[in-house]
Amino acid sequence: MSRQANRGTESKKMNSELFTLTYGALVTQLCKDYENDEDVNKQLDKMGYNIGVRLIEDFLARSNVGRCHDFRETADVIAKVAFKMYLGITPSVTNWSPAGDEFSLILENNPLVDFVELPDNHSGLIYSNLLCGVLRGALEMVQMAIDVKFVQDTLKGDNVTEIRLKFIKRIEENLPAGEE
Amino acid sequence: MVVFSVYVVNKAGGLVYQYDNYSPRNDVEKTFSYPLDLVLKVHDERVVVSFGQRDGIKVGYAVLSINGFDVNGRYMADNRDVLEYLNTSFNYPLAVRFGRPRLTSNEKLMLASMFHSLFAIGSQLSPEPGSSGIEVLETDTFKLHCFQTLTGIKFIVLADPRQAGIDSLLRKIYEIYSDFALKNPFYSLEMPIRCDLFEQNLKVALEIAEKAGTFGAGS
Repeated sequence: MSRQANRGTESKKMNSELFTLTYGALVTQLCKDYENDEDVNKQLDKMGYNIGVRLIEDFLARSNVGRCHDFRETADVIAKVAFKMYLGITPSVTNWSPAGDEFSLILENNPLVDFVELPDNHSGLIYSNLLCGVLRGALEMVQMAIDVKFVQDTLKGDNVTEIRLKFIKRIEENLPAGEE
Repeated sequence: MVVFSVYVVNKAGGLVYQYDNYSPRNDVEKTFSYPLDLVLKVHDERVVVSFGQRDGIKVGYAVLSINGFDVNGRYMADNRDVLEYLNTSFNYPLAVRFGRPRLTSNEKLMLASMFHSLFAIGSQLSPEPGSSGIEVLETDTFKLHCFQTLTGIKFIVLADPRQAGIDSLLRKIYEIYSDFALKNPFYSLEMPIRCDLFEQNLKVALEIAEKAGTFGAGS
């Protein structure tokens, strides 16, 4: 209960090194367990998805954000509230598609890759692919089907890390009663 | 004690958690001599009073025990039929305890999914566009408060009509749910919640809400 009591809107801070090192251990173990990077990427995405579908409730219970009525609002909440809350960073939202159904999150400093140098034999590995799964899983629970992928990665020599999110559709069949 | 019970309903309308915090006991025990001046009938596998309200024994009350021995549905502990036993003159005088039958877990399950549908109907019946479903349902003796999350989970609290602060209690229960059910890796989503930590924290939250409420206990 004491834990509950001091967890208000301000959540408990944790050393991010423990997190990044744990994540590193997870990825290296997956690289040992699977033969090609493609499978590792898939596993990371799957794990992320499973985290996302649970994390969304924690996020909603703690952040007091209401329903987003367009994708721009969603982008704002993800970048300014969610990333801040769980990773301590605020990515910038850019590269909107003209239709407003696609945008990019530019991560200046991705905490997951603080100490990482990608070896040559893992050129296909999308190191932080877990994040894609988390975003996909979390948004699915609020009835948004999206496509998420890394299009640039500093680990691969790009200048920035860029996650691209594409809105696919509203999942109407899961819409709770009373929501349009 | 002014919060009666808590229900959690998943997005498909299935009851995943139920907790009875306080249920008022209004059992009545009375000694009868032959013949019994109440009309009894069997309803839903229970022996209930169908006519002849007296001494606080109301229509709809079920026979809970006879001479201190609990009755199991329409049968007694030794498998004799309750109605037959009560119609036999040499068993008298008899002490019979009557009371409102408790909801069985099956009935609770049914009522929860029925409420889920009513909630949906409510939002469709609304003359105003964009209405939510039922948020509060008020009766003489209790108030039902329902909070639906963006993901479609419903938290329902039945409380005394005068109990204040239920809105924040509902938010608190949502937090407890996200902490102690969802963060428990062995809890599978959408399934009944059987987590001790969840229950413990819920009880604490209920106690705090009751103390903070404007009106005192048991009123």
